[in-house]
Amino acid sequence: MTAAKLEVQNVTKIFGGLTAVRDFSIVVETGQLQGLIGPNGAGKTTCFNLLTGVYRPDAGKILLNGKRIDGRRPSSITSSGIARTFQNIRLFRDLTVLDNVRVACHLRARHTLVGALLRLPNHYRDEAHIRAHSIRLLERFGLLDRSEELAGNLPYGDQRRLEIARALATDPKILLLDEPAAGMNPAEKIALKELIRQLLKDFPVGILLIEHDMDVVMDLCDRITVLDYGQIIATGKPEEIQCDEKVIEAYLGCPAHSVEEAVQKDLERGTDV
Amino acid sequence: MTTLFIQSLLDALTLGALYALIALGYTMVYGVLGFINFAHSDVFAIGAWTGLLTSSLLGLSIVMGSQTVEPRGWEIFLVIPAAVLVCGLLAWVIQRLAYAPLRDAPRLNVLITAIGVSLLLQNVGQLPWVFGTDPRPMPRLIENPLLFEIQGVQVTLLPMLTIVAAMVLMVGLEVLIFHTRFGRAMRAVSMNPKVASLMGIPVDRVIDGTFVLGGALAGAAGVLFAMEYPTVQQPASNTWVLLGLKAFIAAVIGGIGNIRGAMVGGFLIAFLERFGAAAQQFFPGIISFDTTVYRDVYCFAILIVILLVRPAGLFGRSVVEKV
Amino acid sequence: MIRSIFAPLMVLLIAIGVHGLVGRYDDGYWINQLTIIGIAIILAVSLNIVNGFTGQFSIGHAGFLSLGGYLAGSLLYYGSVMFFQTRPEPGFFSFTQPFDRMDPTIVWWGIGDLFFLCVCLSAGLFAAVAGLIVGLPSLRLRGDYLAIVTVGFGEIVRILIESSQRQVPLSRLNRADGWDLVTGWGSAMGFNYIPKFGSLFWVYLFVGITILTAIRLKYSTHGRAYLSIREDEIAAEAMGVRSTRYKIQAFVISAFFAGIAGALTASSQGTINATELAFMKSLEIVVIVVLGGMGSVSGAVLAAVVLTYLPELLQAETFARYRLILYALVLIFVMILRPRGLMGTREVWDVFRRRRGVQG
Repeated sequence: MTAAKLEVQNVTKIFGGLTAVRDFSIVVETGQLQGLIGPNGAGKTTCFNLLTGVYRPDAGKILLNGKRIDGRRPSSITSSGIARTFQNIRLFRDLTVLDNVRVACHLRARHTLVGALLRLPNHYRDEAHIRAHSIRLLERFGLLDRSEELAGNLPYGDQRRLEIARALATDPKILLLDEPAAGMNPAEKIALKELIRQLLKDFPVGILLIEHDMDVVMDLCDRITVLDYGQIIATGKPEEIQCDEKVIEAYLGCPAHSVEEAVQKDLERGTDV
Repeated sequence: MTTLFIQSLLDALTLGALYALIALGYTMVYGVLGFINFAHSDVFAIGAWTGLLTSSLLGLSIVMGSQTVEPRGWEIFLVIPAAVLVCGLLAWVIQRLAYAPLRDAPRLNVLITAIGVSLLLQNVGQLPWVFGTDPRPMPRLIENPLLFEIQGVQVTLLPMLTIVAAMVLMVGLEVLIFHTRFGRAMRAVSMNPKVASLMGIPVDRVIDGTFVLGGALAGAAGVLFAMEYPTVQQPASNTWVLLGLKAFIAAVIGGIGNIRGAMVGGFLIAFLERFGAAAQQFFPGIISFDTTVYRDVYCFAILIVILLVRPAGLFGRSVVEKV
Repeated sequence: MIRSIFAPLMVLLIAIGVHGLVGRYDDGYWINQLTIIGIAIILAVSLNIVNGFTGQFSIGHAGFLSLGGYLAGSLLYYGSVMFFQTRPEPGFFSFTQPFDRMDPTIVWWGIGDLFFLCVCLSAGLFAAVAGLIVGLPSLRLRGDYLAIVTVGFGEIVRILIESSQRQVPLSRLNRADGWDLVTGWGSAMGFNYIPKFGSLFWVYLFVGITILTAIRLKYSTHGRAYLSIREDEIAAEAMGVRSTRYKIQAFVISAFFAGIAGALTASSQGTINATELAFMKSLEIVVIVVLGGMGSVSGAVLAAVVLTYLPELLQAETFARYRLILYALVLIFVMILRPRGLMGTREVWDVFRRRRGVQG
């Protein structure tokens, strides 16, 4: 498997008068795990929507392995190798867990409609292949014993994991995860971190991760990009981001040194009493 | 030729005013709830019936083709409000019983329910002990004197009155929506019901109010329609279903959810229908087929063209679904 | 290989069985009833492919029915003269009456039967092309636009047929008239004296093919793509499902079978009338689909049987008046109480399987 490279160059998206994303650039390669963080409303999910074709960028380029993919339909972008999960889970709720993954495998099917209707040999071959692949994925994510349940009936944590399994079923080169740890309890979060690390080893993908939980982001990511008001305010290794003045200001709403001073003062006052 | 043109123009304006009034009801409901209220055209039909029945209560009825009592002029001021009241109430009842339980359901379900309500109203009305299926003549509510004549076209009071009344109602609605507290609440709900309710707007009451408003307009349109085309028949035939559909197309063409769009759309559809129907007379040598037969076809054809070129309608903005 | 052709063979055998048994023992009543029920099944199951599987909302199915019916009617009426100079006699499989009225010299399989098969397929293809033309602009848009466009389409078809020319009497027809007369569809009077080929064999053959198609679709990659669009179009796109393409595909398949149902209607009743196939007819099919379950093939079949035969059981005259009111209430209550219809997406066998699963 050759390495894949997603390049985003100066992408801008404007809604009415509001610039949701301005000059967003990032490079994600196979084997990397990058984080995209920022306060609420910073434009993170909009970035994902731009990358996956839900929105069309107003300016800039998106390239996958040197080929432009911006302006294409979401399905075409997925088939070229970018898959995603959704912040507000979007499973096919009335389909079974297995069928959710099988839908995502459909790019693997080579037979035509006529093949399916006449039940030609290639239909059976594809179906068997898809089924086996889906079951392997479900097993990998610990969801196999629930495969016949309706996706909408799964517990929350399982739904999140099913979303990742479903995205992986499209054989992505780049995987975009939108807040995979949201709503999980600490134990589940630790398991999720382990799972994502393992994914990176087992599958030839590069991962771009949106996450609010700093624990998860700082632990997992090789590199972090911080957005605020639609603009990149910092990029770098987790430890660099942690002590970046601008990032702290964006999160706390005031410069870091003033926080430190305030804390210092509090401490001094504390010692006084 | 000029005569024909002016006649078609007059017809189109009258019909357009009525289409616009009905279209407003569709567009308002679509604006706040996002579904096609298929039952709206049946509320409109009930408006016409209320007009007919209250007129006969007031002594105005038609026996053997001639009117028993000449209109005294004041009846219309009772008949129209009665229809407005009945239809407003009916719309409220429909909203409470059929649509309110489906507030959080997928839109498809609400759409099917709306079709069910429409079917119900139509067929209950067709029962012999309700309205029956026979057409009934609508009595005259006002005299219809000749106002003036241009190029051989006699312009009488009634069409003018219809146009003026429709205009007044539309301006009233415009003021209500853009210059009152209720209107502001309505616009807020149409943008985002969840946020609106967080801001303290009573969403349920606003939605009810929207239905009542739409129903009331349909009621008024029903009476005006029956006065202009004085036969009332429970929609056993396709004519009234078509009427509702055309008003709906007007709303779509104008940009569904857009109040002004619905008004423009109503007139546009009426112009297309009337001038399309008269096309053979305008171009006697060129068009050899009978164009009046196809007047409904034009409306649907323009709908498809608009959906192809500008899916959001002439005045609508395309909405991007949030992911 | 065996599993691929086993079901089609069964369909063929069942169609022959129904035709043979009912034709042998019936005096005409059941032939008529079963024909009507069979056509209702084809319509319901095919509409379910759009409304139930892909979650789009078409309410113009009767328009495709009309198109197929009138094309079949004109091919059978005018075409048989043009191709054969006379009406080709129906063979055993196209015999629409009880067998005791059968001419003993009847052939098992004649050229007329082959002709009728071709007519059915052309009617289906004609409707499918119309479906493509209607679907292309409207299926790119949100679901409820399709509803309006299909209503509009149904009405346009009705108006165009009603404004067609008078029917040309067969006695005045000859081969030389060519295709000029084929548009003589009898205006609002309906198209009459269509040669009868629509026997129970053909009806149940196509019932079987429709059901088989729907089920094979549902349990295949393509059908799962349809269902995913119904569940969440944005997520489906994100999984690489080309939603517009699949929606159009489903719509065209559905129109194809509606066209065949039209051909069967025209050739089993001997007459077809667009005025009767207006908006209300489309709504009746919608009611069947909604009641049976959006996405459930067996549900649609059951609902079609029940709702078609129920008026017959409940004495047609008194019931006719309240039938549509009942339908309306069914629509409203099913939507409020069971939003996906009685069966939902499940099939009859799923219900049993689940129950067994719980016990075991």
